[in-house]
Amino acid sequence: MSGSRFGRTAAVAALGLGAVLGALAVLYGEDVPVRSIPLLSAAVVIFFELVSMSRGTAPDVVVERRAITAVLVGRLLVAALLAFAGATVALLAADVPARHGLASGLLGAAAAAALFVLVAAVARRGGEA
Amino acid sequence: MTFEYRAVVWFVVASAGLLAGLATAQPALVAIGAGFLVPLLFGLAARPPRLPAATVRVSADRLIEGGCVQLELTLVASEACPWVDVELRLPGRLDPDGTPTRRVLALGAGETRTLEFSIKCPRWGAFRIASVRLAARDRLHLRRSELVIEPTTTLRVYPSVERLRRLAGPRATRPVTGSRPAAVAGEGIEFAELRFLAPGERARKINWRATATRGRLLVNDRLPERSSDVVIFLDALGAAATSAASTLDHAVRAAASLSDAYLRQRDRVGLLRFGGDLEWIIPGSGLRQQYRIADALLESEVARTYRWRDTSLIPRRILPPQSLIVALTPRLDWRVTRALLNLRRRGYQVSILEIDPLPYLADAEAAAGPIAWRTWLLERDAVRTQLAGAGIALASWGPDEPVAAPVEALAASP
Repeated sequence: MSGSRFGRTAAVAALGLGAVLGALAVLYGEDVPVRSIPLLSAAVVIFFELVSMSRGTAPDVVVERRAITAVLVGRLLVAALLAFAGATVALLAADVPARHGLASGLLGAAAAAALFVLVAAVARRGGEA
Repeated sequence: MTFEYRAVVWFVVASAGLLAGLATAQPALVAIGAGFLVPLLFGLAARPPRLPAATVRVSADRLIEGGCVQLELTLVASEACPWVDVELRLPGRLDPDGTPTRRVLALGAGETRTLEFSIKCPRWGAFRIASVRLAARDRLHLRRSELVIEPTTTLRVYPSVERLRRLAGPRATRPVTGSRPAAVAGEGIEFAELRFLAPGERARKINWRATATRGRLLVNDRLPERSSDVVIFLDALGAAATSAASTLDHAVRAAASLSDAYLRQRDRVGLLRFGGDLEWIIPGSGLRQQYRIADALLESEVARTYRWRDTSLIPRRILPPQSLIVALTPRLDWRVTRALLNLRRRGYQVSILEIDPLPYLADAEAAAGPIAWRTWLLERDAVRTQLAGAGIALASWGPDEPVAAPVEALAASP
Protein backbone atom coordinates (compact mmCIF):
# COMPACT_ATOMS: atom_id res chain seq x y z
CA MET A 1 0.00 0.00 0.00
CA SER A 2 1.31 3.44 -0.83
CA GLY A 3 1.97 5.93 1.93
CA SER A 4 -0.57 8.40 0.56
CA ARG A 5 -3.29 5.75 0.56
CA PHE A 6 -2.33 4.63 4.04
CA GLY A 7 -2.44 8.22 5.25
CA ARG A 8 -5.78 8.87 3.55
CA THR A 9 -7.31 5.72 5.06
CA ALA A 10 -6.08 6.72 8.52
CA ALA A 11 -7.43 10.24 8.02
CA VAL A 12 -10.85 8.96 6.98
CA ALA A 13 -10.93 6.60 9.97
CA ALA A 14 -9.89 9.45 12.26
CA LEU A 15 -12.61 11.67 10.83
CA GLY A 16 -15.24 8.96 11.31
CA LEU A 17 -14.16 8.25 14.87
CA GLY A 18 -13.97 11.96 15.62
CA ALA A 19 -17.49 12.43 14.29
CA VAL A 20 -18.78 9.57 16.44
CA LEU A 21 -17.03 10.92 19.54
CA GLY A 22 -18.34 14.42 18.80
CA ALA A 23 -21.89 13.13 18.38
CA LEU A 24 -21.63 11.21 21.65
CA ALA A 25 -20.30 14.31 23.41
CA VAL A 26 -23.24 16.34 22.09
CA LEU A 27 -25.80 13.71 23.03
CA TYR A 28 -24.45 12.53 26.40
CA GLY A 29 -22.01 15.29 27.33
CA GLU A 30 -23.86 16.18 30.49
CA ASP A 31 -24.18 12.78 32.10
CA VAL A 32 -21.62 10.30 30.85
CA PRO A 33 -21.94 7.00 32.70
CA VAL A 34 -18.79 6.21 34.65
CA ARG A 35 -18.48 2.72 33.21
CA SER A 36 -18.13 4.10 29.68
CA ILE A 37 -15.18 6.36 30.54
CA PRO A 38 -12.52 3.63 29.98
CA LEU A 39 -14.03 2.96 26.57
CA LEU A 40 -14.03 6.68 25.88
CA SER A 41 -10.37 6.88 26.94
CA ALA A 42 -9.46 4.02 24.58
CA ALA A 43 -11.39 5.72 21.77
CA VAL A 44 -9.55 9.01 22.37
CA VAL A 45 -6.19 7.21 22.24
CA ILE A 46 -7.20 5.48 18.99
CA PHE A 47 -8.28 8.85 17.59
CA PHE A 48 -4.88 10.34 18.47
CA GLU A 49 -3.15 7.38 16.84
CA LEU A 50 -5.16 7.65 13.65
CA VAL A 51 -4.43 11.37 13.38
CA SER A 52 -0.74 10.67 13.97
CA MET A 53 -0.72 7.96 11.28
CA SER A 54 -2.47 10.17 8.74
CA ARG A 55 0.14 12.89 9.20
CA GLY A 56 3.26 10.85 9.87
CA THR A 57 3.47 8.66 6.77
CA ALA A 58 5.29 10.06 3.74
CA PRO A 59 3.17 9.87 0.57
CA ASP A 60 5.92 8.33 -1.60
CA VAL A 61 6.61 5.43 0.73
CA VAL A 62 5.39 1.89 0.06
CA VAL A 63 4.09 0.24 3.23
CA GLU A 64 4.25 -3.54 3.37
CA ARG A 65 1.16 -5.48 4.48
CA ARG A 66 2.99 -6.96 7.47
CA ALA A 67 3.96 -3.50 8.65
CA ILE A 68 0.32 -2.41 8.42
CA THR A 69 -0.73 -5.41 10.48
CA ALA A 70 1.97 -4.60 13.02
CA VAL A 71 0.71 -1.03 13.22
CA LEU A 72 -2.90 -2.08 13.62
CA VAL A 73 -2.01 -4.54 16.37
CA GLY A 74 0.72 -2.53 18.07
CA ARG A 75 -0.38 1.05 17.83
CA LEU A 76 -4.14 0.68 17.81
CA LEU A 77 -5.05 -2.54 19.65
CA VAL A 78 -2.31 -2.63 22.29
CA ALA A 79 -2.48 1.11 22.93
CA ALA A 80 -6.28 0.99 23.21
CA LEU A 81 -6.19 -1.96 25.59
CA LEU A 82 -3.57 -0.29 27.76
CA ALA A 83 -5.56 2.93 27.76
CA PHE A 84 -8.67 1.03 28.75
CA ALA A 85 -6.85 -0.76 31.55
CA GLY A 86 -5.22 2.45 32.78
CA ALA A 87 -8.47 4.38 32.78
CA THR A 88 -10.28 1.55 34.60
CA VAL A 89 -7.66 1.36 37.33
CA ALA A 90 -7.63 5.13 37.68
CA LEU A 91 -11.39 5.22 38.08
CA LEU A 92 -11.35 2.42 40.61
CA ALA A 93 -8.55 4.09 42.54
CA ALA A 94 -10.51 7.31 42.57
CA ASP A 95 -13.81 5.66 43.49
CA VAL A 96 -12.74 3.35 46.26
CA PRO A 97 -11.71 5.97 48.87
CA ALA A 98 -15.06 7.70 48.56
CA ARG A 99 -16.92 4.53 49.46
CA HIS A 100 -14.63 2.63 51.76
CA GLY A 101 -12.26 5.05 53.36
CA LEU A 102 -8.54 5.75 53.28
CA ALA A 103 -7.32 2.18 53.65
CA SER A 104 -9.23 1.10 50.57
CA GLY A 105 -7.91 4.15 48.76
CA LEU A 106 -4.34 3.13 49.53
CA LEU A 107 -5.22 -0.34 48.31
CA GLY A 108 -6.49 1.15 45.04
CA ALA A 109 -3.33 3.20 44.65
CA ALA A 110 -1.26 0.07 45.25
CA ALA A 111 -3.31 -1.71 42.59
CA ALA A 112 -2.60 1.13 40.18
CA ALA A 113 1.11 0.93 40.96
CA ALA A 114 1.00 -2.83 40.47
CA LEU A 115 -0.62 -2.30 37.09
CA PHE A 116 2.17 0.05 36.05
CA VAL A 117 4.80 -2.46 37.18
CA LEU A 118 2.97 -5.19 35.26
CA VAL A 119 2.83 -3.03 32.18
CA ALA A 120 6.55 -2.33 32.40
CA ALA A 121 7.35 -6.04 32.79
CA VAL A 122 5.12 -7.01 29.86
CA ALA A 123 6.66 -4.27 27.73
CA ARG A 124 10.19 -5.43 28.53
CA ARG A 125 9.32 -9.04 27.73
CA GLY A 126 7.57 -8.00 24.51
CA GLY A 127 10.67 -6.07 23.46
CA GLU A 128 12.95 -9.03 24.12
CA ALA A 129 10.70 -11.34 22.09
CA MET B 1 17.90 6.42 19.66
CA THR B 2 15.57 9.41 19.87
CA PHE B 3 12.09 10.00 21.19
CA GLU B 4 9.36 10.64 18.69
CA TYR B 5 7.54 13.91 18.91
CA ARG B 6 4.32 12.06 19.71
CA ALA B 7 5.84 10.70 22.94
CA VAL B 8 6.09 14.27 24.17
CA VAL B 9 2.51 14.96 23.08
CA TRP B 10 1.28 11.90 24.96
CA PHE B 11 3.18 12.95 28.06
CA VAL B 12 1.65 16.43 27.90
CA VAL B 13 -1.87 15.08 27.37
CA ALA B 14 -1.45 12.58 30.21
CA SER B 15 -0.08 15.21 32.59
CA ALA B 16 -2.79 17.70 31.61
CA GLY B 17 -5.51 15.10 32.21
CA LEU B 18 -4.17 14.12 35.62
CA LEU B 19 -3.67 17.72 36.75
CA ALA B 20 -7.04 18.85 35.43
CA GLY B 21 -8.70 15.89 37.15
CA LEU B 22 -7.03 16.72 40.46
CA ALA B 23 -7.82 20.43 40.12
CA THR B 24 -11.49 19.94 39.25
CA ALA B 25 -12.01 16.75 41.29
CA GLN B 26 -13.21 14.96 38.14
CA PRO B 27 -12.16 11.29 38.05
CA ALA B 28 -13.11 11.11 34.37
CA LEU B 29 -10.28 13.50 33.42
CA VAL B 30 -7.83 11.49 35.52
CA ALA B 31 -8.98 8.36 33.69
CA ILE B 32 -8.42 10.00 30.31
CA GLY B 33 -4.94 11.09 31.42
CA ALA B 34 -4.18 7.58 32.68
CA GLY B 35 -5.32 6.24 29.33
CA PHE B 36 -2.34 8.05 27.77
CA LEU B 37 0.05 7.49 30.65
CA VAL B 38 -0.10 3.70 30.67
CA PRO B 39 0.71 3.17 26.96
CA LEU B 40 3.45 5.78 27.33
CA LEU B 41 4.99 3.84 30.22
CA PHE B 42 4.58 0.63 28.24
CA GLY B 43 6.43 2.10 25.29
CA LEU B 44 9.22 3.60 27.36
CA ALA B 45 9.70 0.45 29.41
CA ALA B 46 10.06 -1.71 26.32
CA ARG B 47 13.51 -2.25 24.80
CA PRO B 48 14.52 0.42 22.34
CA PRO B 49 14.19 -0.44 18.65
CA ARG B 50 17.24 -2.11 17.19
CA LEU B 51 18.20 -1.57 13.57
CA PRO B 52 18.77 -4.52 11.29
CA ALA B 53 22.25 -5.05 9.90
CA ALA B 54 22.40 -3.81 6.33
CA THR B 55 24.69 -4.55 3.40
CA VAL B 56 24.53 -2.93 -0.02
CA ARG B 57 25.65 -4.58 -3.25
CA VAL B 58 25.71 -2.89 -6.63
CA SER B 59 25.64 -5.07 -9.77
CA ALA B 60 28.10 -2.89 -11.75
CA ASP B 61 30.27 0.13 -11.19
CA ARG B 62 30.74 1.10 -14.86
CA LEU B 63 28.14 1.39 -17.57
CA ILE B 64 27.12 3.43 -20.58
CA GLU B 65 24.50 6.15 -20.12
CA GLY B 66 20.96 4.91 -20.62
CA GLY B 67 21.78 1.63 -18.89
CA CYS B 68 20.45 0.22 -15.64
CA VAL B 69 22.24 -0.95 -12.55
CA GLN B 70 20.74 -3.24 -9.92
CA LEU B 71 21.22 -2.47 -6.26
CA GLU B 72 20.59 -5.09 -3.59
CA LEU B 73 20.05 -4.11 0.01
CA THR B 74 20.14 -7.03 2.44
CA LEU B 75 18.70 -6.53 5.90
CA VAL B 76 19.32 -9.01 8.71
CA ALA B 77 17.23 -8.42 11.82
CA SER B 78 18.55 -9.83 15.08
CA GLU B 79 15.40 -8.69 16.84
CA ALA B 80 11.84 -8.15 15.67
CA CYS B 81 11.34 -4.75 14.04
CA PRO B 82 7.66 -4.00 13.53
CA TRP B 83 8.37 -0.88 11.46
CA VAL B 84 11.56 -0.34 9.48
CA ASP B 85 11.61 2.62 7.15
CA VAL B 86 14.13 2.08 4.33
CA GLU B 87 14.97 5.00 2.10
CA LEU B 88 17.36 4.84 -0.83
CA ARG B 89 18.85 8.26 -1.53
CA LEU B 90 20.05 8.68 -5.07
CA PRO B 91 21.92 11.56 -6.67
CA GLY B 92 19.62 13.83 -8.65
CA ARG B 93 20.76 12.61 -12.06
CA LEU B 94 19.96 8.97 -11.38
CA ASP B 95 16.46 7.68 -11.91
CA PRO B 96 14.92 4.93 -9.74
CA ASP B 97 13.23 3.58 -12.89
CA GLY B 98 9.77 3.35 -11.39
CA THR B 99 10.77 1.31 -8.35
CA PRO B 100 9.90 2.97 -5.04
CA THR B 101 12.95 4.25 -3.22
CA ARG B 102 11.25 4.32 0.14
CA ARG B 103 9.66 1.26 1.71
CA VAL B 104 8.33 0.31 5.12
CA LEU B 105 8.89 -3.26 6.23
CA ALA B 106 8.18 -5.42 9.24
CA LEU B 107 10.96 -7.85 10.09
CA GLY B 108 10.73 -10.81 12.45
CA ALA B 109 13.55 -11.84 14.76
CA GLY B 110 16.33 -13.49 12.75
CA GLU B 111 14.68 -12.67 9.45
CA THR B 112 16.76 -11.77 6.40
CA ARG B 113 15.24 -9.66 3.66
CA THR B 114 16.73 -8.58 0.35
CA LEU B 115 15.37 -5.49 -1.38
CA GLU B 116 16.15 -4.89 -5.02
CA PHE B 117 16.26 -1.48 -6.63
CA SER B 118 16.73 -0.81 -10.31
CA ILE B 119 18.56 2.44 -11.03
CA LYS B 120 18.48 3.97 -14.47
CA CYS B 121 21.36 6.18 -15.53
CA PRO B 122 20.09 8.61 -18.17
CA ARG B 123 23.11 10.93 -18.07
CA TRP B 124 26.84 10.47 -17.88
CA GLY B 125 28.72 11.26 -14.70
CA ALA B 126 30.49 9.80 -11.69
CA PHE B 127 28.11 9.18 -8.83
CA ARG B 128 28.64 7.99 -5.29
CA ILE B 129 25.94 5.43 -4.55
CA ALA B 130 24.05 4.54 -2.60
CA SER B 131 23.18 6.30 0.59
CA VAL B 132 20.57 4.33 2.51
CA ARG B 133 18.67 5.66 5.50
CA LEU B 134 17.22 3.13 7.92
CA ALA B 135 14.80 4.12 10.66
CA ALA B 136 13.32 1.57 13.05
CA ARG B 137 10.48 2.33 15.42
CA ASP B 138 9.22 0.43 18.44
CA ARG B 139 5.78 -1.11 18.65
CA LEU B 140 4.04 2.06 19.79
CA HIS B 141 6.22 4.35 17.65
CA LEU B 142 7.43 6.29 20.64
CA ARG B 143 11.15 5.83 20.00
CA ARG B 144 13.19 5.75 16.85
CA SER B 145 16.65 4.48 15.93
CA GLU B 146 18.13 5.86 12.77
CA LEU B 147 21.17 5.08 10.68
CA VAL B 148 22.47 6.46 7.41
CA ILE B 149 24.70 4.11 5.43
CA GLU B 150 27.16 6.23 3.55
CA PRO B 151 27.85 5.45 -0.11
CA THR B 152 30.81 3.22 -0.79
CA THR B 153 30.63 2.67 -4.55
CA THR B 154 31.47 5.14 -7.30
CA LEU B 155 29.25 4.45 -10.26
CA ARG B 156 30.84 5.64 -13.49
CA VAL B 157 28.32 6.28 -16.22
CA TYR B 158 30.18 6.86 -19.46
CA PRO B 159 28.73 9.01 -22.22
CA SER B 160 27.31 7.14 -25.17
CA VAL B 161 29.64 7.07 -28.17
CA GLU B 162 28.45 7.70 -31.69
CA ARG B 163 30.38 6.01 -34.48
CA LEU B 164 31.93 8.67 -36.72
CA ARG B 165 32.95 7.71 -40.24
CA ARG B 166 34.59 10.88 -41.52
CA LEU B 167 36.75 13.10 -39.36
CA ALA B 168 38.47 16.40 -39.80
CA GLY B 169 42.07 15.50 -40.44
CA PRO B 170 45.10 17.49 -39.34
CA ARG B 171 47.16 18.89 -42.18
CA ALA B 172 50.40 17.74 -40.59
CA THR B 173 51.12 14.18 -39.51
CA ARG B 174 53.65 12.67 -37.16
CA PRO B 175 56.38 10.34 -38.39
CA VAL B 176 54.66 7.46 -36.65
CA THR B 177 52.60 4.78 -38.34
CA GLY B 178 48.88 5.35 -38.19
CA SER B 179 45.80 5.21 -40.40
CA ARG B 180 45.93 8.67 -41.88
CA PRO B 181 47.52 9.22 -45.31
CA ALA B 182 50.38 11.68 -44.99
CA ALA B 183 50.53 14.85 -47.03
CA VAL B 184 53.84 13.88 -48.67
CA ALA B 185 54.51 10.79 -50.77
CA GLY B 186 56.48 7.90 -49.42
CA GLU B 187 56.25 4.20 -48.71
CA GLY B 188 52.65 3.23 -48.10
CA ILE B 189 49.61 1.51 -49.55
CA GLU B 190 47.40 4.54 -50.23
CA PHE B 191 47.61 5.50 -53.91
CA ALA B 192 48.52 9.17 -54.46
CA GLU B 193 49.32 9.82 -58.12
CA LEU B 194 51.14 8.68 -61.24
CA ARG B 195 54.44 10.24 -62.26
CA PHE B 196 57.29 9.55 -64.63
CA LEU B 197 59.98 7.15 -63.58
CA ALA B 198 63.03 8.88 -62.16
CA PRO B 199 66.51 7.37 -62.42
CA GLY B 200 67.33 4.99 -59.58
CA GLU B 201 63.76 4.04 -58.71
CA ARG B 202 62.74 0.44 -58.09
CA ALA B 203 61.11 -1.41 -60.95
CA ARG B 204 58.32 -2.75 -58.73
CA LYS B 205 56.89 0.77 -58.50
CA ILE B 206 56.23 0.88 -62.28
CA ASN B 207 52.56 0.90 -63.22
CA TRP B 208 52.71 -1.28 -66.33
CA ARG B 209 49.14 -0.68 -67.45
CA ALA B 210 49.55 3.12 -67.38
CA THR B 211 52.99 2.74 -69.04
CA ALA B 212 51.44 0.73 -71.89
CA THR B 213 48.76 3.36 -72.40
CA ARG B 214 51.05 6.41 -72.33
CA GLY B 215 54.10 4.88 -73.98
CA ARG B 216 56.43 6.16 -71.21
CA LEU B 217 57.47 4.58 -67.95
CA LEU B 218 55.11 5.69 -65.16
CA VAL B 219 55.32 4.82 -61.50
CA ASN B 220 52.75 4.83 -58.73
CA ASP B 221 53.30 7.36 -55.99
CA ARG B 222 51.91 6.30 -52.66
CA LEU B 223 51.17 8.02 -49.36
CA PRO B 224 52.47 6.57 -46.13
CA GLU B 225 49.95 6.02 -43.32
CA ARG B 226 50.79 8.27 -40.46
CA SER B 227 49.19 9.35 -37.21
CA SER B 228 48.59 12.85 -36.01
CA ASP B 229 47.94 14.78 -32.82
CA VAL B 230 44.45 15.87 -31.92
CA VAL B 231 43.51 17.87 -28.86
CA ILE B 232 39.89 18.10 -27.81
CA PHE B 233 39.19 21.47 -26.28
CA LEU B 234 36.17 21.33 -23.98
CA ASP B 235 34.61 24.62 -22.95
CA ALA B 236 33.53 24.36 -19.32
CA LEU B 237 33.37 28.09 -18.69
CA GLY B 238 29.72 28.45 -19.56
CA ALA B 239 26.76 26.38 -20.61
CA ALA B 240 23.16 26.91 -21.55
CA ALA B 241 20.90 24.48 -19.75
CA THR B 242 17.35 23.43 -19.13
CA SER B 243 16.24 21.19 -16.31
CA ALA B 244 16.70 18.14 -18.54
CA ALA B 245 19.92 18.79 -20.43
CA SER B 246 22.68 21.28 -21.08
CA THR B 247 25.15 22.14 -23.79
CA LEU B 248 27.87 20.63 -21.62
CA ASP B 249 26.06 17.26 -21.67
CA HIS B 250 26.17 17.28 -25.45
CA ALA B 251 29.73 18.59 -25.54
CA VAL B 252 30.91 15.70 -23.37
CA ARG B 253 29.09 13.16 -25.58
CA ALA B 254 30.67 14.70 -28.66
CA ALA B 255 34.10 14.68 -26.97
CA ALA B 256 33.70 10.99 -26.15
CA SER B 257 32.69 10.18 -29.74
CA LEU B 258 35.52 12.23 -31.21
CA SER B 259 38.21 10.80 -28.94
CA ASP B 260 36.97 7.28 -29.67
CA ALA B 261 37.01 7.88 -33.43
CA TYR B 262 40.46 9.51 -33.50
CA LEU B 263 41.95 6.85 -31.24
CA ARG B 264 40.56 4.16 -33.55
CA GLN B 265 42.55 5.83 -36.32
CA ARG B 266 45.63 5.45 -34.13
CA ASP B 267 46.01 9.18 -33.64
CA ARG B 268 47.27 10.63 -30.41
CA VAL B 269 44.42 12.35 -28.60
CA GLY B 270 44.61 14.78 -25.70
CA LEU B 271 42.00 16.64 -23.72
CA LEU B 272 42.00 20.22 -22.52
CA ARG B 273 39.16 21.35 -20.27
CA PHE B 274 38.96 25.12 -20.31
CA GLY B 275 36.95 26.12 -17.28
CA GLY B 276 37.36 27.60 -13.83
CA ASP B 277 40.46 25.44 -13.56
CA LEU B 278 42.45 24.33 -16.56
CA GLU B 279 42.66 20.56 -16.68
CA TRP B 280 44.31 18.48 -19.32
CA ILE B 281 45.37 15.07 -20.45
CA ILE B 282 48.58 14.87 -22.46
CA PRO B 283 48.03 13.40 -25.94
CA GLY B 284 48.40 9.66 -26.10
CA SER B 285 47.04 6.71 -27.96
CA GLY B 286 45.53 3.32 -27.26
CA LEU B 287 42.79 1.90 -25.10
CA ARG B 288 44.28 3.21 -21.89
CA GLN B 289 44.16 6.76 -23.23
CA GLN B 290 40.54 6.23 -24.21
CA TYR B 291 39.65 5.28 -20.63
CA ARG B 292 41.75 8.13 -19.28
CA ILE B 293 39.84 10.63 -21.39
CA ALA B 294 36.48 9.04 -20.60
CA ASP B 295 37.20 9.19 -16.85
CA ALA B 296 38.29 12.82 -17.14
CA LEU B 297 35.14 13.71 -19.06
CA LEU B 298 32.99 12.34 -16.24
CA GLU B 299 34.32 15.02 -13.94
CA SER B 300 33.23 17.79 -16.29
CA GLU B 301 31.15 20.44 -14.62
CA VAL B 302 30.52 24.03 -15.53
CA ALA B 303 32.91 26.10 -13.45
CA ARG B 304 32.11 29.75 -13.80
CA THR B 305 34.90 32.09 -12.95
CA TYR B 306 35.73 35.77 -13.30
CA ARG B 307 39.44 35.11 -13.42
CA TRP B 308 41.35 35.94 -16.54
CA ARG B 309 41.61 32.85 -18.70
CA ASP B 310 44.21 32.79 -21.40
CA THR B 311 46.11 30.32 -23.55
CA SER B 312 49.36 31.40 -21.92
CA LEU B 313 48.38 29.18 -19.00
CA ILE B 314 48.31 26.07 -21.18
CA PRO B 315 51.55 24.06 -20.89
CA ARG B 316 53.37 23.56 -24.17
CA ARG B 317 53.43 19.77 -24.08
CA ILE B 318 49.61 19.68 -24.00
CA LEU B 319 49.49 21.14 -27.48
CA PRO B 320 52.05 19.47 -29.74
CA PRO B 321 53.12 21.60 -32.72
CA GLN B 322 50.84 21.43 -35.76
CA SER B 323 48.20 19.46 -33.89
CA LEU B 324 44.53 19.72 -34.67
CA ILE B 325 42.43 21.35 -31.96
CA VAL B 326 38.76 20.43 -32.02
CA ALA B 327 36.89 22.83 -29.75
CA LEU B 328 33.48 21.94 -28.33
CA THR B 329 31.83 25.11 -27.18
CA PRO B 330 28.48 26.89 -27.13
CA ARG B 331 30.43 30.15 -27.61
CA LEU B 332 28.81 31.85 -24.63
CA ASP B 333 32.02 33.20 -23.11
CA TRP B 334 34.25 35.59 -25.01
CA ARG B 335 37.35 34.25 -23.24
CA VAL B 336 36.93 30.93 -25.06
CA THR B 337 36.68 32.66 -28.43
CA ARG B 338 39.76 34.71 -27.61
CA ALA B 339 41.70 31.63 -26.57
CA LEU B 340 40.82 29.81 -29.79
CA LEU B 341 41.84 32.79 -31.90
CA ASN B 342 45.15 32.92 -30.00
CA LEU B 343 45.76 29.25 -30.67
CA ARG B 344 45.04 29.76 -34.35
CA ARG B 345 47.53 32.61 -34.46
CA ARG B 346 50.12 30.34 -32.89
CA GLY B 347 49.80 28.06 -35.92
CA TYR B 348 47.47 25.37 -34.69
CA GLN B 349 44.74 24.04 -36.90
CA VAL B 350 41.52 24.83 -35.05
CA SER B 351 38.04 23.49 -35.75
CA ILE B 352 35.03 24.48 -33.69
CA LEU B 353 32.05 22.26 -33.15
CA GLU B 354 29.56 24.77 -31.86
CA ILE B 355 26.88 23.31 -29.59
CA ASP B 356 23.92 25.47 -30.48
CA PRO B 357 22.76 27.16 -27.25
CA LEU B 358 19.58 28.69 -28.71
CA PRO B 359 17.27 25.69 -27.99
CA TYR B 360 18.23 26.04 -24.30
CA LEU B 361 17.53 29.75 -24.20
CA ALA B 362 13.81 29.68 -24.96
CA ASP B 363 12.98 32.18 -22.22
CA ALA B 364 16.01 34.38 -22.72
CA GLU B 365 14.49 36.44 -25.53
CA ALA B 366 11.54 37.45 -23.38
CA ALA B 367 13.81 38.16 -20.42
CA ALA B 368 16.34 40.22 -22.36
CA GLY B 369 13.96 42.02 -24.67
CA PRO B 370 13.86 41.81 -28.47
CA ILE B 371 16.51 44.47 -29.14
CA ALA B 372 19.07 42.99 -26.74
CA TRP B 373 18.33 39.53 -28.08
CA ARG B 374 18.86 40.59 -31.71
CA THR B 375 22.03 42.43 -30.78
CA TRP B 376 23.37 39.32 -29.10
CA LEU B 377 22.55 37.21 -32.16
CA LEU B 378 24.26 39.74 -34.43
CA GLU B 379 27.31 39.67 -32.16
CA ARG B 380 27.43 35.91 -32.44
CA ASP B 381 27.28 36.16 -36.21
CA ALA B 382 30.07 38.76 -36.19
CA VAL B 383 32.28 36.49 -34.06
CA ARG B 384 31.52 33.61 -36.38
CA THR B 385 32.69 35.71 -39.34
CA GLN B 386 35.81 36.72 -37.41
CA LEU B 387 36.62 33.07 -36.69
CA ALA B 388 36.09 32.09 -40.32
CA GLY B 389 38.35 34.96 -41.36
CA ALA B 390 41.07 33.63 -39.06
CA GLY B 391 40.90 30.26 -40.81
CA ILE B 392 38.94 28.42 -38.16
CA ALA B 393 36.41 25.90 -39.44
CA LEU B 394 33.10 26.05 -37.59
CA ALA B 395 30.05 23.81 -37.69
CA SER B 396 26.93 24.17 -35.59
CA TRP B 397 25.31 21.22 -33.85
CA GLY B 398 21.70 21.14 -32.62
CA PRO B 399 20.66 19.02 -29.67
CA ASP B 400 18.52 16.53 -31.61
CA GLU B 401 20.95 15.92 -34.46
CA PRO B 402 23.59 13.20 -34.64
CA VAL B 403 27.07 14.52 -34.02
CA ALA B 404 28.26 12.90 -37.26
CA ALA B 405 26.63 15.64 -39.35
CA PRO B 406 28.65 18.63 -38.02
CA VAL B 407 31.81 16.50 -37.77
CA GLU B 408 31.50 15.62 -41.46
CA ALA B 409 30.87 19.30 -42.22
CA LEU B 410 34.14 20.13 -40.42
CA ALA B 411 35.92 17.39 -42.37
CA ALA B 412 34.63 18.82 -45.64
CA SER B 413 35.63 22.38 -44.83
CA PRO B 414 38.91 23.51 -46.46
